[in-house]
Amino acid sequence: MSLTMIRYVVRAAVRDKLIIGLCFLLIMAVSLSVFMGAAALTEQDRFVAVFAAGSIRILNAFGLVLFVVFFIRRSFETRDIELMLSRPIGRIQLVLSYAAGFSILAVFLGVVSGVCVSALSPHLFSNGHILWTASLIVENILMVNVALFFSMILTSAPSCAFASLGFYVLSRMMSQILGIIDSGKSLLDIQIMETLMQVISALMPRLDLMAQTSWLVYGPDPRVGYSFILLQGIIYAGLILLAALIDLRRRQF
Amino acid sequence: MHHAQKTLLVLSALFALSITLNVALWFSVRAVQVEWKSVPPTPGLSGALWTTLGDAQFAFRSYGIMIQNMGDTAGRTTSLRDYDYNALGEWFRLSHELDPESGFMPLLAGYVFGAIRDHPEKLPPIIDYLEQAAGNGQGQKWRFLSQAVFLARYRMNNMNKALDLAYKLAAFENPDMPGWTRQMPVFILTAQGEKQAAYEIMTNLLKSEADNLHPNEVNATLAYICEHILDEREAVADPLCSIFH
Repeated sequence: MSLTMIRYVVRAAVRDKLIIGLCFLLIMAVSLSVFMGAAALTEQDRFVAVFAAGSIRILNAFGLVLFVVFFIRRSFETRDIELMLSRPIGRIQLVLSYAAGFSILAVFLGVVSGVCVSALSPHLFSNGHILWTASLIVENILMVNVALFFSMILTSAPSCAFASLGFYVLSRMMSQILGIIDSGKSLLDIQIMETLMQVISALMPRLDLMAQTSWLVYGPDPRVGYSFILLQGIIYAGLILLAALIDLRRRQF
Repeated sequence: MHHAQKTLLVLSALFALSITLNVALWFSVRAVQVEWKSVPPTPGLSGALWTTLGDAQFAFRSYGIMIQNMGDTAGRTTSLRDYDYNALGEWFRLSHELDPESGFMPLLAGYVFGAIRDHPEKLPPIIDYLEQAAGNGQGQKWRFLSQAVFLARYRMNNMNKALDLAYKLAAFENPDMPGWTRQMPVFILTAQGEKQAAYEIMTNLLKSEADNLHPNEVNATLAYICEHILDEREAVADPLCSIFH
């Protein structure tokens, strides 16, 4: 990895006003959550925490994905990547440096989000808040790497954004899809579709198990712990980065 | 006049015309506002979860606020009699699937939508939901069933339903429930004129629980036996009432 490249990515995020923009959106989300939650008949603090956490989680994913996609596509279009590869920096080093730079941003925004949610209702603070923040950080890291992968293999920025966000939605809904398959209910009696969905599911991260807002109200779910979150992050980030590296190695400039 | 100035003049005139047309269009639809038809149909559990990308708690809270404010938005207020209570019951059941622990929705059902007075025939979905929300009565959940008993007894005057619920309430194995919850069937039986059954439950309660009850609760129980269940002549002859008096 190249420290210069990592610094370059972080500076680009600051220059593109990603940090300020997302912090502004976080403030808006928190303000709206306080406004909506305060209108509840009872359990106002829980409403605020859940509304803020649920919306902040989506903002993190969308903001980071859009930044990564447009940053990488712009780097291809302005031939920055070709310029960098003409220097003594390998393709593997380039991708890993990008991934590290984006991951630093992902961790930073995850921590800021965790602090925001915890500060909103400090009397509710529990292990659930820590687990929520940790899993949001891992989810952010996974999503920046997924966006990096799609930006490497697709040529149009909107296609990359749609693919990454579609991936995000599908990962978060995977529990529902698996539940429908397991219940045996289907409109069409086509076994191959169920098998295909199971295969797709096995190749995707289980984001539905991450950053659950119920942890902020009732504490952590005993079925999901730090070990699962950490393993999911390491395994899937490695998988998606390897896929991006393989694609870049085969590409002719 | 130069060509450039003429073009600018034409563009400015077109711009002014656009504004005028927009204002005219706005006036033509000024009175048209969103209408509230009634309680909307309930999505299934999967449909509800899709709206928040699979986050059940987020969905529960979002629907909670929606149900609370349903019919009372955009400067409009809606009388409780205009709500479809069967559809509301569906929403409450869905919310129970999303979060069976929260006390928000039972409170909303019992105290807000249960406040309807002139159409008690609409209450059964609320009572059924409160019974469901009470679960096994652990923690503070027994309160929802006591609210259901109240609605059945005083709003619907359905004594049989109230008695069934009261027996269920009294049978909860929750040591933190106050004594009056155990006595609830007695209140209903007394109202039904079932004096003997009410008397037996109360005296059995005193025999089994007197040591665990606060002295004020023992006195209140005795007072209920001697002043409400028994008439004056029976009370004079009853040995329990001689202690009380």
